[in-house]
Amino acid sequence: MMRLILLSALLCCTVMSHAAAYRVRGLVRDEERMPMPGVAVGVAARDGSQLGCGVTKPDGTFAVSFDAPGDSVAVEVGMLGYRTETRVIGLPPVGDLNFDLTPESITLREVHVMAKPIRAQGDTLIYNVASFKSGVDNTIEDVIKRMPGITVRGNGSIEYMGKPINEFYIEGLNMLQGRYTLATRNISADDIATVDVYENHQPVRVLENVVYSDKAALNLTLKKKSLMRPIGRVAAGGGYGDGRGLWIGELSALMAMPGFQLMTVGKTNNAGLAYGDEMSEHTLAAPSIGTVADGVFAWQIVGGAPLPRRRYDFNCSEIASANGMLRKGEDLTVGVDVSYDCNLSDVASGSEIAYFREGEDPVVIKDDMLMRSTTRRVKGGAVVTLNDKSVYLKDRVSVDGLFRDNITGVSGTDNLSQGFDLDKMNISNVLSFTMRRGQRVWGVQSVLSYVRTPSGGISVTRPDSEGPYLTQHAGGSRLYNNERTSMSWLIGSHVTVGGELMFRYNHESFESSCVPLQSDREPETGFNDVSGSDARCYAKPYFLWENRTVRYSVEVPIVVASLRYSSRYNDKDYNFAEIYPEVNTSLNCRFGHFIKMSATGSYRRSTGGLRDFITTPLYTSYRSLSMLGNGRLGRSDSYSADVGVYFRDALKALFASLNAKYGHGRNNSTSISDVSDDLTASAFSDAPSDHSSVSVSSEVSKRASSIGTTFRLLASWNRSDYSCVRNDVDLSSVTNSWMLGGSVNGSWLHDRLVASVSCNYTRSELSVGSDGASSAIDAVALASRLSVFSHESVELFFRFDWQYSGSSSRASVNQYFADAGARYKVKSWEFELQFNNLSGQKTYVNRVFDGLDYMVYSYRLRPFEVLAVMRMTF
Amino acid sequence: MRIIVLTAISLLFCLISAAQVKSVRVIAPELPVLENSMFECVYSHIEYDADLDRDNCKDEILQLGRNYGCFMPYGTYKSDSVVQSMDKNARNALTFTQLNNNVHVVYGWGEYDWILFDLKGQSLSHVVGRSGGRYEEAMPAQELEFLEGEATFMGYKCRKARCTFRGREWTAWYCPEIKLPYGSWKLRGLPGFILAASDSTGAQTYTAIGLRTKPTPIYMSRRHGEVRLMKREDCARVVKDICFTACKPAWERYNEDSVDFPRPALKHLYYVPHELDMNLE
Repeated sequence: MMRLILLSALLCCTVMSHAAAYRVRGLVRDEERMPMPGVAVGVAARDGSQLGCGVTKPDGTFAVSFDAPGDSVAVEVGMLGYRTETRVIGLPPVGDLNFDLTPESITLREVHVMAKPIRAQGDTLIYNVASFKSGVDNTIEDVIKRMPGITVRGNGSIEYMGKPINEFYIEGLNMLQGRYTLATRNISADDIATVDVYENHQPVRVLENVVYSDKAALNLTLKKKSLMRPIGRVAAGGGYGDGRGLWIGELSALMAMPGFQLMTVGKTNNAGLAYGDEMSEHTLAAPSIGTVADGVFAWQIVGGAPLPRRRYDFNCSEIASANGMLRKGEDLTVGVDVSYDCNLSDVASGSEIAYFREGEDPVVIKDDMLMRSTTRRVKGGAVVTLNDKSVYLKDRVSVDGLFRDNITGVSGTDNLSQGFDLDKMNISNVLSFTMRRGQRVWGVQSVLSYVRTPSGGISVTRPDSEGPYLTQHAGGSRLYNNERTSMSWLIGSHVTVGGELMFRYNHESFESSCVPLQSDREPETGFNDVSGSDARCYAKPYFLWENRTVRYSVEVPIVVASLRYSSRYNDKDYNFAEIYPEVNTSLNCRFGHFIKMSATGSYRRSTGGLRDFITTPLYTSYRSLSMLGNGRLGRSDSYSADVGVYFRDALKALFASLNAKYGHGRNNSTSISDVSDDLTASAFSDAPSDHSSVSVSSEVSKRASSIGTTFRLLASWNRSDYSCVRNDVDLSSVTNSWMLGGSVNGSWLHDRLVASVSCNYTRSELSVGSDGASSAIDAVALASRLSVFSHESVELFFRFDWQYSGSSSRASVNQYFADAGARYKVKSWEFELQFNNLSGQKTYVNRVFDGLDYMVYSYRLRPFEVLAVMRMTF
Repeated sequence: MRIIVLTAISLLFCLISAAQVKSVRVIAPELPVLENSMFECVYSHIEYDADLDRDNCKDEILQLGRNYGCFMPYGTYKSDSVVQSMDKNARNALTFTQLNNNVHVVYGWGEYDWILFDLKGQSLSHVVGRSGGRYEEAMPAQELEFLEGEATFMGYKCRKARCTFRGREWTAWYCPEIKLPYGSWKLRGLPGFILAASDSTGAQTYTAIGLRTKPTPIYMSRRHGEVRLMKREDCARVVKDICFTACKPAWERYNEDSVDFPRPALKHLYYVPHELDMNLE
């Protein structure tokens, strides 16, 4: 027993000695032996771990309590501007510790405060352009591309955190009405102070805090020196390549004043620069409305390549655009815009299409093509907007004319020429009115649009035929009217309930003819004359609950549809009426001020229209015969879910987004196709079919300001399943595609070296047929640009692109492209000399899966060219 | 005739008033210099009002000399630096427009929150702008706990510590290389300078973005002598009252007549107090 007690006492002593509480006291004095208050005193164990700390009192004394496991500690006393004193003392401490500090020069490395690249002010992010700009940037688009969280697509459209922006402003005015590439590709980065992102932007002020928006808007804030005077640039240049003279001429000007903005652009070139993107409406003021005839024909037999058009497009382009907006007071704006775009293009290409057939060798069609196309577009519009806190009124009237024709010479499996000529004219008026009185919000929206596609189409001529071998014409018109009124009540601080009534009337007509027909093909093809109307209305009650972090809404539209079509050619009438519900629900959450989450789910039914009653097959190209409908109203029931998680930390310039989507649909018809050596025929059967798709995408971008570099990482996966009938065999196909990519964009050595590198790896897998045999295409695309500033005003640049394509059944292809040049800047003048296609590549090959089929496209590239350009900014 | 004269005088008065409105002079007396700083650190400070779900990002600076320290908005610091470097005539001619265009547009408007540390006497004086008052207290003690973990801020290696102070639990990153027991706002007492700190609720986050040792004057705030000396609790109570009563009439109007008065956008003004240890009801 005694032994036990002794052992226990010994154990307790050991434990106590390992966690004993001590207290060290002392005095700190300066070189004049005067007490030093406010000096840090730290106590550390022998392994360096901090045990305790304190600060000296006004009389210079200190007392630090600590727990220490060992038998000695180090007491460290230090003060900026004095040499740090450290003493190792045994435990327990005996007596007071006195320190006399001696002065020492401060040798800290300074960190200068720079203007922050990104500042957050509530829901507004302010990107400081100077922090992202480098010497190689010409336009503000070049700088926006470096901003983390913002993505600029190849066509100039801008996305923030993976979602397209909903408005684009210059100094708070929406002058360009969605055609913002006109601004981003023509305004110099030197004229812009900041790019502002308005998150969750609700452009209608009446609806602020009432209707949630998950999209952002962009605003360009001009520098003060660039306000109240015309700014812009003039460029002129010439060159030579492969016996062909090149030219370029550009003029762009912007005048921004507090109450008035005007932007004019005129450009022309034949050096491969396409201007069509600058005229595209990225944020639509009105729904895009077209006719059935407009979408029937393949405008281009071979689509565009995933390569900049300047490499393969032998073009002659010109645009002219004038846009103005006048602001009266704070809330009223009046805008006018007129634009003209003309593009003459020669593209030489080849195609090899392997059409899948179950149990048989694929049908392989090999053709070489030379397409000469002309596209002309004339647009004009006027808009009046009153946007104050109680009333919103906007009326936009627009006129749009699109005139397209091309002629394509085809040789190979087929030997013929195909001409295409189809125009489209559209006039529309969109009126929106919303007013708010207290807790009631009432709105009306009216869209009235008339679209006309005059009869046009394709004409095929064969060398051995007299006159056209095949002429397929189609035309039609559409009158679209949509009236919507809504009313909502705000109940308390969390709940909003409301309802919306919509009435839509849509009258469409479609005529097609196929004469003269000098063909051994089926003689009855091509004649249709269908017209009719589609009247729908819905009543949509909705409920919204929200607090400071969560917002949940559900709406249940009840749709009543009445469709009446008649075919004069077949002498048939089609009448349908039905009523069905839909469900839409959404959930938005915030977690702290860095993370947002959104989720949506819906059940929708879409019913067909005029296309379903175009039952006579028509030629959509020289080897495609298509029956657009089967005389039965198409119906598709679909379920979809979409989840997105978004993270942004402006201070660390770190942005990340993750999106996942799932959709499943069941159609009451199945696509059928019949492929033979000289024709591909497609139609729809009455059998139901299913289709589904899953996609997951993620993007992370980060600006490392200390090294002036923006990093971007992208990853995505898509899977789609669908079933169809090919040559009387039921088939189901699964397409999987993965993409992993990244880019680095930065400037180093005091902007003497500027480089950007992007690299994407893509793998596409197609599994089709009863045996589930799959084939795959692997592709790697690397694009890089290196600029060296040997002198502040002299830039030597080098562009290098590499593309690799590997296939399970074909030999791999490696393709290189290189350009180089020099640029000299002096004050507002700039001289540039470019040498394009240094590697002398003649063709570019692209492999893709299209539905069930495997396609190989090749394009003739522009030859080695020399181009000299002189620019002047003002 | 009298009407004409009166009308002319009225018009003249209006013109003069309009001219005065356009060029309002800044009252900028010469400020006393307490001493030159030997160390300055600029912080990016993010405050998050969870109730409003809004954040506010601003820059603040800590100036440290041998005897005094001063913590204030960076806008105030820049404004004082610019104005005090002018001669008397230039200061008297200075207008708000000039000050705004040259300082505030770049660095943000200065606010009136201003903390003066007496390093010798180990006390502080806090001018609480929105309360119209200030309070004085001894340099407050804080409960400290050292944690495992290292991080780098601006190239300086920092260690992790937990600091419990007046109702908030802070995670602080201190740099043992910089021998100063101070940091952002009132946080102090660690064996190294605090380069980053955030509280456990995410309402307050400080991150150092600049550091310099070039001496600059530490000015005494003009407001320090103008505002009333109050108790700390009273200052906090006044601030809370202002924040929560400013929007009250709008809510009352909305609740009484929600048809003709719109729902106010804000329930209260932006309110993120640093100190939660007081009962302000």
